[in-house]
Amino acid sequence: MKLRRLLAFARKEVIEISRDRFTIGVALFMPVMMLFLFVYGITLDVENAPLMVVDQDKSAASRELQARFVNSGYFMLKAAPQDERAAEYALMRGETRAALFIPKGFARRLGRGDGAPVQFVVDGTYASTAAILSAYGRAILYAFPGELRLPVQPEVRVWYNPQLRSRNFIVPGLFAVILMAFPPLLTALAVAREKELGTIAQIYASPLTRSEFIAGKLLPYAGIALLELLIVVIGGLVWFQVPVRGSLTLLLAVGLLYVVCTVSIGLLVSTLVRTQLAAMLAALIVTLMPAFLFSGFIYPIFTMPAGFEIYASAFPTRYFLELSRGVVLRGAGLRELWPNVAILAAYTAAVFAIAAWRFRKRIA
Amino acid sequence: MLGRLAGLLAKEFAQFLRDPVMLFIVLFLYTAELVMCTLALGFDVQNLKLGVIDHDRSAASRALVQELTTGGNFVLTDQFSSLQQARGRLQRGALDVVVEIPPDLSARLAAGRQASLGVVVDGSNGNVAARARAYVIEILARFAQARAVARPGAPSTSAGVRSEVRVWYNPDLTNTRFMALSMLAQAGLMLGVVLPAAAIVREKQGGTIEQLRVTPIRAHELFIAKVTPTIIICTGAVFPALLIMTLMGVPMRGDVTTLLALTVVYLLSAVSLGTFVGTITETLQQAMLLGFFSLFPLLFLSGTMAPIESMPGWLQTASLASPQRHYVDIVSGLFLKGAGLAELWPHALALVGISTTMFLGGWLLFRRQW
Repeated sequence: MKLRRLLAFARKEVIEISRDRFTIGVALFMPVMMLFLFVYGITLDVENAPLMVVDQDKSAASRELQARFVNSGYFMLKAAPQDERAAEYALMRGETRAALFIPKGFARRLGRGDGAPVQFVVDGTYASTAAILSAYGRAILYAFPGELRLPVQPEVRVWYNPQLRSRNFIVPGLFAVILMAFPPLLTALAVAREKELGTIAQIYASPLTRSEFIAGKLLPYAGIALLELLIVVIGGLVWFQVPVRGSLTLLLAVGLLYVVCTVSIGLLVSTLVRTQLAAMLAALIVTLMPAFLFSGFIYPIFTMPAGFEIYASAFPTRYFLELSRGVVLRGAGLRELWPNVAILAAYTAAVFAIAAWRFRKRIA
Repeated sequence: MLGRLAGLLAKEFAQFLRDPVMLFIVLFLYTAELVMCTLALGFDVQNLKLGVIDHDRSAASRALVQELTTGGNFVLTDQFSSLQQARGRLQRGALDVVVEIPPDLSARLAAGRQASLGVVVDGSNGNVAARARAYVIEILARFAQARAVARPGAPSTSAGVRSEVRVWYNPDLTNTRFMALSMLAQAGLMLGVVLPAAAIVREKQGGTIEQLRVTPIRAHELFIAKVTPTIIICTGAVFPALLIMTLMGVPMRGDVTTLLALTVVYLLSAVSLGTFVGTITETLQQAMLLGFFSLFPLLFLSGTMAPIESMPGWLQTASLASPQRHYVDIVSGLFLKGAGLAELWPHALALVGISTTMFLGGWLLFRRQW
C-alpha cells in the first residue's frame, strides 16, 4: 500500500462526494430525523392506555372501581358504552386497548362478600403493552375494595435510569444503530454506482491496488459516518440532555473504530453485488435489519432463542451498543468493557481483509 | 393501446426476472426474514433474574419470596445480606431485579400496619424494566389480597372482587404473531417503494427514456408498466409467506380473498410512493437514498417498533399517512381478530387515498418531464 496513491484516491473521492449535495444532505439529516422519531415516539412504560368500561351495575362501588382504573394513571377512559358488544367491537377495531365489564349485582355481591365477578379484557396484539396492562389491571383488582395503599407497599427504584426515561436508553442505543444503518448503505451504493456506470474500469486500468482502493473509499465515508456520530452524540447529550455517567472520550474513541468497521461492511457488500438496487436491498438485509432487530436495541438479546443469539452476535452492532449503554447509563469503563473493544477491533480487521480480497480487478 | 401496454409490460417483466439477485431478495424478505423475526423477536420477558435481601427471615418473608417466584416471571438467583453486595451484580447486568425485605415485615403485617418493600430494577433496558416493575406491583397486590383473606377476623369485604383477566387475540402474550404480520407489511412497503423507483430512474439515468419518449407510449402507460411487475410478484410472494405463517401457528381467522384484495390495495399505495420517488429524482443513488429516507419514518410510524398509542398526539396523527400502519392494522385484524371488510374499510379507504394522491402528484410532475 502506497500512502501517496491512497491519499490521492481518497482526495478524488472527497471531491466527488462534496459535489453531491443531495447525498450529503440525506446522510446528515437522516440521523437527526431518527433521533427525534425514536426519542419522541418510544415510551417504555404504559400511560393512559385507552380503556372502555361497561358498567351495568351503576352503583357507588362500580363507579369507585372505574375511578381506581382511571386514577391509576395507566388507563384513560375512552368511552363507557352500555352494550358489551360495543366494547368488544371497539377492541376488535383497535379503538381501545382494554375493556372492563362490571355486571349487574356487582355491589350487592361485593357487600355479601362472595366475590363479585368482574371481567377485564386486554387486547393482546401488542404483547409488551398487553403484558404491562394486564399486570396493572390485576393489581388494581386484587386491591379492590380495600385501601388503595397495600399492606406491603413496594418502593420501586429503577437504577441507572430512575424515571424510566426512554431517551436515556434509546439515545445510547441509537449511537450504535445509526452508524450501522447509513454509512454501509452509502458506501455500498458508491461502489455499486461505479460498477453500474462502468467508471470502475478506470480503477481497473490504474496502478491502484485492491487494498488502496478499499482504504481510499473507506476514508471519506468513515469521515461522513464520524460526522453522523458527532451529530447524534451532540443532539442526544445536549438537546435531549441524556446524562453520561462514564467517559465520553472512551465512547468516541471506540466509536471511531466502530465507524471504520461499519464502512468496511458496506465495502464488503459492494463487492458482492453488481447493481445499486441490489446493493441497497442487500444493505437493508445485512445492516439495517440486524441493527434494529438483532442488536438488543429494542428487543433484548436474552429473550431470543439460542440460535438467534448467535446470529445477533455475528453483527458488530451488539458489541458497540452494549458498550455505549454501559458507558452512558451505568458509568462502566474499559475495565468492564474491554472484551467488546477487542471483538470490535478483530471484527474490523477481518471485514476489511475480506473486502480487499473479494474486490477483484477484472471486467464483468 | 392494449398492445402497446402489453409490449411494455413484457419488457418490464423480462428486465425484472433477468436479475436473479433481485428475485432472491424478494423471496428472502417474504420468507427467511419473516421466519427469523418471528422466531427471534418473541420478546417473552420471562425468568427475570431476581436477587433477594431478606432482613426479616420470617414465615411472611419466605411466603413473599415464594409468591414472587411462582408463575415464571422471576427466578431467584441470588441471596444477599445487603444492597451493597447486590450492586456489583447489577452493574454487570447479571441481575434484573433486587427485592429488599425490611426486618419488621412480619411484625408490621401482623399488627395490620403497612410495611414497605425496597425494589431495585435495572433500568438499562427500559423495556425489560417497565415489565419487571409491572410484574412486581401485580404480584405484591396478589400477595396482599391472599393474606387479607387468610387473616382471621378480617372484614368480609376483603374477599373483594373475583376478577377474570383475559387477553384476547393473543392469549399467551407473545410477540411472535404480531411480528410475523409486521414483517409481511414491511416487505411489501420496502419492495413496493424501491423497485418501481429504481425501474423509472434507471431509464432516466441510462438515457433509454429518450427512446420511450419518441414512441407513442403515454406517461400513464409507462407508470402502469413500471408498477405492475412489483404488484404481481409481491402479491404472489404472499402465498409462501402465508404457508410459513400457518406452519408457525399464526392463526388466519379472516378471509384469504379479503387479504389478497387488501394486499393489492396496500401494494398500490407503496408503488405510488415508489413512482413519486422515481419521478422527482434523477440518479439511482438519489432514488435509493430518498426511498430509504421515506421508508424509515413510514416503518417507524406503523407501530412495528413501538405501539402507536404510546406516541405523542402529533406523531399519532402523522402515522395516518403511513400505508404500513394501515396494513398492519388490516392484517392483525384479519389474522388475529377475524375481522372483515366491515371493520377494516376505513383503513382500505385511507390506502386508496394515499395512492391516489401520490399517483396524481407523480403523474403531474412526470408529464412535464415527458
